[in-house]
Amino acid sequence: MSVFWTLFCAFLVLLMQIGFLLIEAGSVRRKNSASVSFKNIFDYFVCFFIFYFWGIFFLKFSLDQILSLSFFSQFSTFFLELTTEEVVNSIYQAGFACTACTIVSGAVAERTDSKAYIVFTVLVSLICYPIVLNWVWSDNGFLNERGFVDLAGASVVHALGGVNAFVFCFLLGPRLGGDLKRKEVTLTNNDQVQIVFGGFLLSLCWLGFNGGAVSFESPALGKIIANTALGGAAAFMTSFLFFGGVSRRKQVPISTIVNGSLGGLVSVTAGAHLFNIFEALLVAAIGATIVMLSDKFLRNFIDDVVGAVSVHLFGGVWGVVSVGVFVSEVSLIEQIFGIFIIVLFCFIFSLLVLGTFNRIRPLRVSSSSEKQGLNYSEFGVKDELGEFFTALDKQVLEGTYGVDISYEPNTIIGDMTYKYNEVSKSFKAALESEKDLKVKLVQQSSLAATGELASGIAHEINNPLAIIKATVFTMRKLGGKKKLSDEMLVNFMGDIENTVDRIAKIITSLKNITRDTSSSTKEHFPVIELVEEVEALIEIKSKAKGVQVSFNIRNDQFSVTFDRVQLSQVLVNLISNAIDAVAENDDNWVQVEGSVALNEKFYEFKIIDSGRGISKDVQAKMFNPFFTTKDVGKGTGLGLSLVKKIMELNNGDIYYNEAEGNTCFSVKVPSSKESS
Amino acid sequence: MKKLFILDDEKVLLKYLNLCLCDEFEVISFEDPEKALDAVNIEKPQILLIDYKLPKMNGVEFLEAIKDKSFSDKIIMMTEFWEELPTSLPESIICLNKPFEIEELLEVLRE
Repeated sequence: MSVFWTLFCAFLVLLMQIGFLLIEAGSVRRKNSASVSFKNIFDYFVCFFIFYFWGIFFLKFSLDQILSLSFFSQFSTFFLELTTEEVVNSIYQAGFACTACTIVSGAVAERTDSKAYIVFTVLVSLICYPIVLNWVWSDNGFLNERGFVDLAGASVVHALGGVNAFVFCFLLGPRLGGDLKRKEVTLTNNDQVQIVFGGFLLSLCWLGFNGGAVSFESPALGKIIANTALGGAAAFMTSFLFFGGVSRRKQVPISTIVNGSLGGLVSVTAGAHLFNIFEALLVAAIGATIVMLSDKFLRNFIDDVVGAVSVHLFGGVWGVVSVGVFVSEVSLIEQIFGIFIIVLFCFIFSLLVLGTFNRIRPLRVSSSSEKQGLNYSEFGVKDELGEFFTALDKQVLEGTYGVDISYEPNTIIGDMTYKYNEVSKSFKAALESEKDLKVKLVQQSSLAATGELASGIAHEINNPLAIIKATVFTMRKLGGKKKLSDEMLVNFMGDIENTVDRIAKIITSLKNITRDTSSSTKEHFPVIELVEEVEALIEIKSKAKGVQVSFNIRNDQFSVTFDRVQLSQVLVNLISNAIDAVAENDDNWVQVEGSVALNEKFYEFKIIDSGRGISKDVQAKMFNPFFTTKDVGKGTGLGLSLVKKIMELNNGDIYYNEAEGNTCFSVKVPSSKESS
Repeated sequence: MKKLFILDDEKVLLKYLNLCLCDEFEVISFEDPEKALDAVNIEKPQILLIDYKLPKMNGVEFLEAIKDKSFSDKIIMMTEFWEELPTSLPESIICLNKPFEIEELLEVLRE
């Protein structure tokens, strides 16, 4: 029965590897989950193997015997003659070695070169762990002889793993994006359920971890099981209360609570066979509190992914010390001395090994591999979800929405990708039809606006025609009376010529304004050409309304890219609005300023009038179609909305410029350099 | 010779209307309606030839600004675009569409 009990406990201890795996895989980001899992299974097989054939000697023999290599002669016979009981005991002990090694892997996750980890973990199995084991548990171990008590490895397993993890983390530095100064965890966890599952499994297996330390017949067994199980419960409740319990004020970090429970379990490990049940509860509760506090404190120095250092080092140290505190037969001094020696030894050992390794080749993977994730960079494990996100990023970058992303059918991510493709295609189609609608609206409203302008221009042609008719009549009349001198003839002809030019100018602008605007045909042209055209078109209105319109155009040879007709519509529309706005005022003027803006990316026109600005509520609505402040019948309300749409279609912009004291609209026209 | 006031902001047109009509009428021309308004009460012209579209005010507003129009027996309103004239325009006012033949204008003036 005793053999069975130890075998059962050995099984539970080895099962803890799965618990560690779950906590670690749950704590890292998905891109590193396979990498930590690998480290765990490596520890399970390799550390187990090394301990079975090597570490066990440190338990059976004194260090002197090992150093003198006297045990070597018995090497083969030792293994051939092992009884079942001895084999089972070895397996149980080997499980401890695995645990001691694997504590490190979670802390250093997400950035450690797996070769560095392997070398370190092998050296711990070969040197560090066996020596400490010998000191504490071997019959003639030097700490054992001094009366140092550690039932199931609070020091040998946990504090040792914790110190190693601390040194490793310290030398590695924080993960990319992991800020040491911030007290909160800045990098997101992969799966909280896995963390809880892992913590659950560890708590359960802890019964075997502690219980296996004594034989089935031992009278202390019941005490050990009770102290372990209820110590865990006390630690959990303490951790939960530490974070405010059921009060609604605080958010409760699940993974930290799991760590607190584990810390409590670590604490009762050293003296589970000596504590009475109340002492065990107290030790576990204090242990959990120490873990919670040290977790926050440690974040100033190291980026420990799973919080292993606080759980195993601080929990372990407190566990060992607590035996000295609560159990009168055990010397507190010896406990403190023992744990101090162990921590110091592990510290020096790991610093030497890792420091040396770091000099030969870096402990850490390259930052590009770290960003990519160790699953892929070290193990070639592809991440379907990661690839999907990469494809999404590419779409955003290239603007290739609606293009199918390839996928593996009948997988979760595959189905998701398929759905995304469908959504993105229909979304793109909807966007395109909206764009069509926009173009149509621009066509319609520009037709209305140009109609208005055309009638105005036709209207203005009649005036010069009247002049020509009057001139011709005068010439005929004077000619008939032979009173037409050569001088007069030159004068009259000059007037006719000027007036014809005036009509020609109006006709040209009329031609431009009524040209088909359904498709925007972008041209490169210098600003000056456009300004001349606009000046001619505006002159008529400014005269009619008695509003002075002045142009102040700098860099007028600057070349812009725009639909020429549409840009002239935009400016005429804005200037014409400005004229209407101030026509009734005593102080009425409109000023059009032009200059190069934004590092020659744009040419900016400012249309400023003598008005005192536009009220906020009008500003908010004025670019909407059919919004107008004019009287019924005086304006279609399409002007500004049309202007806005035209500017958008041509990659330009228009906005109300509040920087000026007067009413001012800014129009930004893209430079030819930008668009070519 | 009847006194004829012409009010139009087209300087060149005024010049030729003057040349065409000066044989038969005493032509006084204005570009600025305000100046014309000052002069109209002093000169009391029998005929008013006014463009509808003027700076600062339109032809109808100009007429409304003249308090006593009893001196004038003929008012002609010139327009480049007859739709713009208000429908409430008194029937006594004669409308003349630009561009017009000078003979046409003379006929109206001589009537």
